[in-house]
Amino acid sequence: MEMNTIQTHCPFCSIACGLSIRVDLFGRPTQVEPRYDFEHNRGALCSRGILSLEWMRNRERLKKPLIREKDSFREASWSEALQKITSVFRSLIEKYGPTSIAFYASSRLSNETLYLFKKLCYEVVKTPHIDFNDRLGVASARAAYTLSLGSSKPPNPLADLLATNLILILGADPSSCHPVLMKYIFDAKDRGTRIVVIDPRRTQTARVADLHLQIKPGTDVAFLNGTLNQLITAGLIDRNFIAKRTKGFDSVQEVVSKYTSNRVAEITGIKEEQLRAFTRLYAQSPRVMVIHSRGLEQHPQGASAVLACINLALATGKVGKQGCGFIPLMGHVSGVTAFPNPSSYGLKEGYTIYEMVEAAYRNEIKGMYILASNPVVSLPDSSFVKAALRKLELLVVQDVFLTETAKLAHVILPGSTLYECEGTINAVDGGCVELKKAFNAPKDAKEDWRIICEVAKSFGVSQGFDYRSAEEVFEELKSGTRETISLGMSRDLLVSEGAGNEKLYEDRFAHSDGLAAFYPVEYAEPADHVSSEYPLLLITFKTPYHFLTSSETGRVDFFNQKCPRPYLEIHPATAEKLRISQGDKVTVRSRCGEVEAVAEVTDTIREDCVAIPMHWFKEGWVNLIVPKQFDPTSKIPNYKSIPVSVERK
Amino acid sequence: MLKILRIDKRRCIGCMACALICKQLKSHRGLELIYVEEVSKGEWAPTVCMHCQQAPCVSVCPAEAIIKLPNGVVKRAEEAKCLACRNCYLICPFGVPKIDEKSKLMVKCDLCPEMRAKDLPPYCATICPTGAIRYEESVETSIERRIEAAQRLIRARPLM
Repeated sequence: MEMNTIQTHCPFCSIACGLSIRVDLFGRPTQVEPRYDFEHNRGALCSRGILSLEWMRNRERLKKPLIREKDSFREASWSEALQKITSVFRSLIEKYGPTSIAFYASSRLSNETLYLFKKLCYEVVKTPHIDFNDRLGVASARAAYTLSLGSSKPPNPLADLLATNLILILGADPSSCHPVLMKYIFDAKDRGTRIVVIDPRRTQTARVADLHLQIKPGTDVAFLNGTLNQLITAGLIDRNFIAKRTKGFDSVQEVVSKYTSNRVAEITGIKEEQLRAFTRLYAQSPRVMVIHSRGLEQHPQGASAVLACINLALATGKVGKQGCGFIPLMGHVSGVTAFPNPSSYGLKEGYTIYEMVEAAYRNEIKGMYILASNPVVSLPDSSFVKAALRKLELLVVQDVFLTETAKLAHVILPGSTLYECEGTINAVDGGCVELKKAFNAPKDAKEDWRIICEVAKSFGVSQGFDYRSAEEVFEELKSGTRETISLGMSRDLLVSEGAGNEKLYEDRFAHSDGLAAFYPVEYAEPADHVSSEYPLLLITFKTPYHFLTSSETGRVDFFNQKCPRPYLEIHPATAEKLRISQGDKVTVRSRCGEVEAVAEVTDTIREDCVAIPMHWFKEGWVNLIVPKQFDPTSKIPNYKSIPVSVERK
Repeated sequence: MLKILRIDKRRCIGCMACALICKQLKSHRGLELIYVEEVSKGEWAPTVCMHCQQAPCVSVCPAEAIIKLPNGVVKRAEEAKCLACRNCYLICPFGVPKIDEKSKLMVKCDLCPEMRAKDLPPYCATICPTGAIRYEESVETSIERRIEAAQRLIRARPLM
């Protein structure tokens, strides 16, 4: 019966594993198989990839456009839905101007879709307000890399992990979020590479580590500054590299000199001898690769922490050669969201997503178009987000499931998954891979980029949105913009998939003078303190089974059996004090709300912390109690150090 | 050269990819023939037929339904002969053979003949994202084991 095998890539984490989909004579997918020819995975897949067809073929997929009628939805034709969108958006633009409309999308979409979405925003609606869920993910890292190295492109290929002496994993848990990366880490370890993990939780990744420092959440800046201070004092920095390749070291030296071992130990909660052991290990390793992720970045000092991490590498010359550098982990495969630039349309930078939500709450933004994202679950203070979105005169949601956000929409457009559309997308090391269409989206659902073109056409703009294939969109997107060229994206590179991840910065950095810039960063006490009322720090994390807001994995039986409800990781000593035992129902309170969870008593977490998975569950989700607090540089929300209280129910 | 499955329990992160893909193989008819148990929190043990040289299941099978092939594979009980007597299940030191509820016959891993016919490793060894399950020539494995052991010694300098 089987007729065809289509080679494409996994739609989940940023490793972008190569896989193929078997399709039967009727064009229905039957099975996911691994691919041996893609360098990142070479035949390996994790459970999320293997079961990806289960949610794509789920009965709950949106199959027709829906229009809200009072408290329920009715099915509508495409022309009716598009008509409604354009007529309401037009009247909003006439009454309140184009800035009353905002756009928000997941960046887990193809380069082509994201490009067209931005084009629709700038060229047709002419509003500057567009943002992507990068804001919750790589925003800190992107801001810091651009400031310091001149470009946000990930500087090293994954293979560098096998050519290094020390892998420093800062606030990342690849065993849960990027399982295939673990093969690199284990293989490196077998070759004699040391592994250091800095994480308040003893994750499955931390079990592999030679040294695991259970740092207090949000204190990474102090830790990294302290390490640099020890290295400077011991004369273990690379003066030659600093003089030739960088600028601004003196200011950093002055700042870090305040971070003495005993002060850092006090702030971070790590013993002085452990700090010294780490510094020694770092200095002894000629080559160091740094892997960092949300644990370092989703803090009120997110961008500063990444800068501190870059300062450390620059001062020791551990950048820009094989086995030396950074792998900033993106949570998911991601299209490039940097272009087109608003300035080329004469527009200023618009609001970030949370600014949009706040503007919607004060009735400044009247209409929103949300593409494949679920901000009600993913943004802090979900109740506020819900209230704000309810105030909109028109909320358009284009997605594959009726998510918590889609439930608030006035018009819902049934979109596609990454197996159902063609295009290109980027993996963890910036390499661009090609997505092929394996099968059709169910019934009336359409490819995301085609829907955007149709919205533009129904606005009366057909010129510039008349593409026959995604390849034509790609040709337009890569021509011209400086960003695309510097990102090394060209269709030719796709022939050797994953290429384009050449080592950067061997001779010069991306700033115009070729030098990397040091940015001194200071540790700042969090504005939101633990207190007698909220004595514990809450960390949110991803489990190995669900993905992001779990609108997809939450529809797969296997994952639901493995992780059916929100649970609270709590240290046995803390649990005993609060008279909580394993399996008890607990209420977790913060200053913006409360959520229920089941206690999971474990010594893998610090005594002063508790942790809840970030995913969506029927019983509730953790972002209901995550208050609004942002990093001033990158506007990334703080999801990793929230003062809470815990009580047995 | 005889190839064997090498299971490195330290590498297992309990993602269950092996068990999920095992089910998908046509000849397995929806059964998973590799098992992953959580021994204690964070410690996982993938278990699959070791295709023993002196396979006890072969020697205790009263119907001679289980045979060891010249290529080293211990083939599961032949359907026409299997009595479902559970001798194999009782004797196996790893707890591998099981009685399929539907067919009421013994089932266990055959080392994916479909995959090997295509010159690919068995599915579980292919899919494992951490390299905890590998399909290697036994000599290769022992060399690697010696190197690993030596490396552990070399690396065993105290950290603090």
